[in-house]
Amino acid sequence: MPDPTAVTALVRALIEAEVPELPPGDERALRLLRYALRILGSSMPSALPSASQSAELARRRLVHAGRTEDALALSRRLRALEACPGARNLPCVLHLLTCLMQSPPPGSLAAFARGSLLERTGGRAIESGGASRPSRAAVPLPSRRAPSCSDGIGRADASALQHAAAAAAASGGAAATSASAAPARTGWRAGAGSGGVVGEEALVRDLLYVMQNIEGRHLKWDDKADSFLFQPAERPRGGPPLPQLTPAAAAAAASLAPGVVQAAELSEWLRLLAVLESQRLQGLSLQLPACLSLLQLLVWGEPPLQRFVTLVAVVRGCSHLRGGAMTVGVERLGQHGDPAVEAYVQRLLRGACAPLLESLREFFIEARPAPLAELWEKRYALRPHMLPCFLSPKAASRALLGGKAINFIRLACGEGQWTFDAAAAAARGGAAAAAAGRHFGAAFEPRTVNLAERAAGEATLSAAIECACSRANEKLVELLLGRHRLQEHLTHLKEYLLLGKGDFVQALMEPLLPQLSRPASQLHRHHLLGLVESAVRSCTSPGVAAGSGNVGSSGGGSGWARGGSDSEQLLLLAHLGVLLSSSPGATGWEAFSLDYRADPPVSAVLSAAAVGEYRRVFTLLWRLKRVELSLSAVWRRHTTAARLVRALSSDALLHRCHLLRHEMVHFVFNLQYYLMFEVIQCSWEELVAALAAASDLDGLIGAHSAFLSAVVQKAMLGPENAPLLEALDALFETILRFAKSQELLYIHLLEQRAAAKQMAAAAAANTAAGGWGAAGAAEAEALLAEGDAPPLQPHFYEQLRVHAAQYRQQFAAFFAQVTRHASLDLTFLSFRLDFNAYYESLGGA
Amino acid sequence: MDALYDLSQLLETGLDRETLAVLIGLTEQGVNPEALAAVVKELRRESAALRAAEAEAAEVEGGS
Repeated sequence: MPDPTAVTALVRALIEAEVPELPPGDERALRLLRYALRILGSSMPSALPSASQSAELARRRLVHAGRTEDALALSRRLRALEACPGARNLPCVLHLLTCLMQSPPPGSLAAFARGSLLERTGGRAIESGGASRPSRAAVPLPSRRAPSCSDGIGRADASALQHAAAAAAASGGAAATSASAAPARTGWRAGAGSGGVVGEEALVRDLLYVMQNIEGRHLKWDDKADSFLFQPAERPRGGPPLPQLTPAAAAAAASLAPGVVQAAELSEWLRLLAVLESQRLQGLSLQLPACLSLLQLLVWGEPPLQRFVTLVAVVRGCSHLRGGAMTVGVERLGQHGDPAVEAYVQRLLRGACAPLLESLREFFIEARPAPLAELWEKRYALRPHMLPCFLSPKAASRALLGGKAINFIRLACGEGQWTFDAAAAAARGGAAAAAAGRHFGAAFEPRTVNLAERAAGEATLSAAIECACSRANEKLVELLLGRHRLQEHLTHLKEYLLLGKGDFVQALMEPLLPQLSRPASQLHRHHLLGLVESAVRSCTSPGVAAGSGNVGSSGGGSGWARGGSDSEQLLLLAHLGVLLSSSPGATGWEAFSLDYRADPPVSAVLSAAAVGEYRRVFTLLWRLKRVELSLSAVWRRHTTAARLVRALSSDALLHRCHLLRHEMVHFVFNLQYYLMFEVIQCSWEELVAALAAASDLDGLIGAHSAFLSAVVQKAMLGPENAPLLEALDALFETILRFAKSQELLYIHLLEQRAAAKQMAAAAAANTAAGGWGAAGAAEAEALLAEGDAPPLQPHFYEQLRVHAAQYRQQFAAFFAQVTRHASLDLTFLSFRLDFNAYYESLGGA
Repeated sequence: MDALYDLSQLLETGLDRETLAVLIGLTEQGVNPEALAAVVKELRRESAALRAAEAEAAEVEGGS
């Protein structure tokens, strides 16, 4: 413990020795004494280096100074000293001596003396430009033995630097000296309110603060210049911006963009700063002349500076991008000529990609609001420009598929809690993804070399995606086909909408016939729906004779035994409906069509567009059925007429009617066969096979739409077949008109027959009464004509001729188009239509 | 003692024997050597300043 009195006495002695100019009793001396005591009493960083450390330090300095022989001598002396007894506080003494090393004797300081504690000069800001040329203080100018002036930093700094500047200019060397000795004094100087001169130390400290984006004492943030400017505390005289460390560091620190700047980067930077700071403090404690100079700062800060510059560029370039697009942007920026820059950007990229690997779906797949019905199609789409760089588009689309499947399952199929069965599977997939990610990280570094590795990493990632995706798809397909009975829906569509079920059609057509000939505005949907439902019930319950008897306004057959097809029937009835398209002036025939409603999971396959296509085919088939029905009605009429009026069977008119009807029937039946079997049934087979083979929902949808388009195409409903369809329509019209006229003919015949019968009865009565059979001339004619076939009105002939001509003409046109059609199926149809080359000859003739 | 003086000469500390003795005495008292070195430097600077001031005063007097 220091003895105060002894210390005071000794210090006084020291002052006398060192400052001989002062008379001892001077009050200045007293002040000095107090000052010295204060210094001694202040707590200093007291890491006392050992003797060897000090010796080493001293030796190094000597060597630096070029006095190697003195260094050797030093070692010798030290050894001698250690051997000497009574040197117990050698470390202290050595430390003291090394601190005082190279401190010049008082005389030579005249040039450097610029005031002292006893004078207070005004503050003088140092030229910060000058501060940019400090060198390591360990390399003194050869001409000066005392570069590290012992009179402290402050004003000496300015003078030293100016001197140094002059000297350097004179000597042409860049070795300016820095006066950083006794940095400990800075603390006191600041503590003593040393005023407005900023030393290098302060600068360094401030720079360290600035690099952490904190305003230092002398470096304030200037918004205009967008950098830190040097402003000393007292006399704000803005110097030019400090060496380039500051602006970039400030910009980097200020523009911490979320998600891109890696915490690692920042922590590295801060670590560097901490090292520098500790070095500075260590220098403080060790009294190193070159603890931390500005130049050192510059040199140390240079690589991170570069990195930060690139970082800032990257951040500024990608600040508007998000997620995967950001990685693409970063990668593009990384294609820089400078390999260091490239490597750095790659590191950034790796860091940026890491969070992506966990949540692939969110970034490059955008979610658009879409109603539940269109969930599959519209909800998610790929945003290709946001694709992260390591995902190939194919892998991305697979990922999208998988994601969509999972989402679909969750939302639409109502399996809200479904996740990958067995968490192990997910873990496996996740682990694979993580492994792939790490692989990527490794693969990113030197890009050119590791392309193969990168491809392997990509493959791993795609494999992981693939695995997850296929599981999801399997589950989805299974759900659709199983729980939601997709196939049954399709079967129903085929049977009912596409008139595959004959008895249903029969059952439906009969009650609808009288209804549909009314104008559409008079039809009521619920009425028709009731009819449809009764038709359905009549033909789906087993054990019930199919037929027309049970159909009628008796709503529903409750008396029938329900069979196993109950659920099917319910399913069907739930979805089947009637659509009455309202067009003015149309009859029921045009307005009526069956409709099929599908719920969300199934509606992904049976979209509204698909159902519309079905409806078109239904319309065509329905018309065809109507024509067929009317032709069969004609046939019935003809046969009954032939039976009733036996003589008529040889009548030329009727014979021609028969022939015409026969042609029409041949045509209609062949067309129907073609549509039903060749078009629908064949495509149906393909559809069933494809459904069984489909691996995901897209496959199902594709198969179904292929089926539909094939049907539409072959049924001549495609847009390129419009003329064909028109010819068909015309033919149908003709046939219907013919049928109507046949009806009229039949009625007429019946009337005639009835009239003839009446006359015959009258004649018989007359004859029985004894008079002439025929009372008058007309009656005579009628009697005469009794035995003969009654002459048919001539307009029937006309009509028949017109019909026949029309039919032939239209059929020829239709047939010509069909034969010339490119499609193979229609060619077969034409072959069947004209199997005996009758029309060909007709056309040729 | 002499060895120490030689050592200080070698390191060019600019201390004479007396000062060295005082300093060693202070260190034996347990004073922090760094602080001590700082004190010495301060004192030297003070003395230099004083000398400079005197020299200027002398010049001024001589000139006038």
